[in-house]
Amino acid sequence: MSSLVERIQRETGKVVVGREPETRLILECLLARGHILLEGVPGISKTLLAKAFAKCLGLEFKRVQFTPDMLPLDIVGGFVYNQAKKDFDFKRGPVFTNILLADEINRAPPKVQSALLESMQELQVTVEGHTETLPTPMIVLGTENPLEFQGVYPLPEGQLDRFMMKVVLSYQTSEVETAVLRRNLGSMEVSQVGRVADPEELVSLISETQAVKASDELLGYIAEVAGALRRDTRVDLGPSPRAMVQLVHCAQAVAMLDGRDYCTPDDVKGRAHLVLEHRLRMSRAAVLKDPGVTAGAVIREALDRVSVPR
Amino acid sequence: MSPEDGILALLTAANLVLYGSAAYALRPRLRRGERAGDISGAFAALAVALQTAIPDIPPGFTWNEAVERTRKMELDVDWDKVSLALRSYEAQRYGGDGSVAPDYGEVLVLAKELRRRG
Repeated sequence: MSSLVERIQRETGKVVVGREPETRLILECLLARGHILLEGVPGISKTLLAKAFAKCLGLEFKRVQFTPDMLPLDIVGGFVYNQAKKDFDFKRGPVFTNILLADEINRAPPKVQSALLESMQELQVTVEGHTETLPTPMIVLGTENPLEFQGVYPLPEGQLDRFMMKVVLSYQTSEVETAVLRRNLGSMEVSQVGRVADPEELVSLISETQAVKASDELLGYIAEVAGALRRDTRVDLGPSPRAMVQLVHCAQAVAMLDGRDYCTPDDVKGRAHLVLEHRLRMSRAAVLKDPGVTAGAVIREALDRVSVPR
Repeated sequence: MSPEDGILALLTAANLVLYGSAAYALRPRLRRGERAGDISGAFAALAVALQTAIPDIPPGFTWNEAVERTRKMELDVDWDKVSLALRSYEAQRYGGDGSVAPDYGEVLVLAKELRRRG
């Protein structure tokens, strides 16, 4: 399994430099049947990474730029009148794909966000009583532009909860950036990315991931961590049961890619921040009292405090 | 030398070997925790040694985190063997795979080294 990760990283690395950790995280989410929220400033290679990732796994890729004037049917599709048949046909929206890059999700109005997020949760679309299932595998890479503060509709907690992980793409080191500039002197086309797996193989890997063991002790540990976070007086909104289920699924994906058929506490702790941090809502009073109190700090303290089954 | 003297000498030598071995086996540097009936016992001994040598280690430490922390202490330990033992222990503990009998001797050596430092 580690060779699969390396092959994917090598292929995507042909066009996207220095994003090996993020590539692995996207793969983990895909295998864990989750969706991922990417945060980063424009031009940091979010789209290129998603395209390259899709290409090397033989998956269909679609990109949707969210704008304030969008309608839900722009995402999920709707009925269009067919003159020849004198009837309405359901025209599928861009959500019917394997990898959907939902760009600047926070620019779309809440109705449009809900349409997308509902289909992410249900993995199906229902319009006027007509239901269609989304393809498998399916992952949404949502992006949020952290710079725009006007005319944006920040995702509420209930919507954020549907994303398995939030990954922040920051600027690279100067060495990596030099490599990016050097690579871009020539042509860097996604067509250069070779295929390392196909959708059927991925579906099989997803099944294998679901079969990875998570002992009762480990599940009890995860529940203890959730309890510790919910009881923390500095936290207004702790992690939901959905969040902890997604943490288990994520740990299973980590174990699977490491070649194990069982999860360990390290798998859980290793992904706890990515899975839980964006879901916690901190108490304003606590943050005003101590600006160092962040969701990350609270999670770190909880992980230190809760005994690991050894 | 008479036959009786010979027998006495033989018995004396046998006693020396027997009691000498017992004394060696019970020598003072073999303390509690350096023996473990199985790998779980070895890691239990390591947990006690860790808490003595690193009193500020938080309750939420994992074995991998603890091993990484002790690596920096420059102890005279074969870390490859410790990693292998840890992998076997985790397979048993979290995966229920008791099929392989792991070599956990180096875990006890690590526990001993930590107690010496603590």
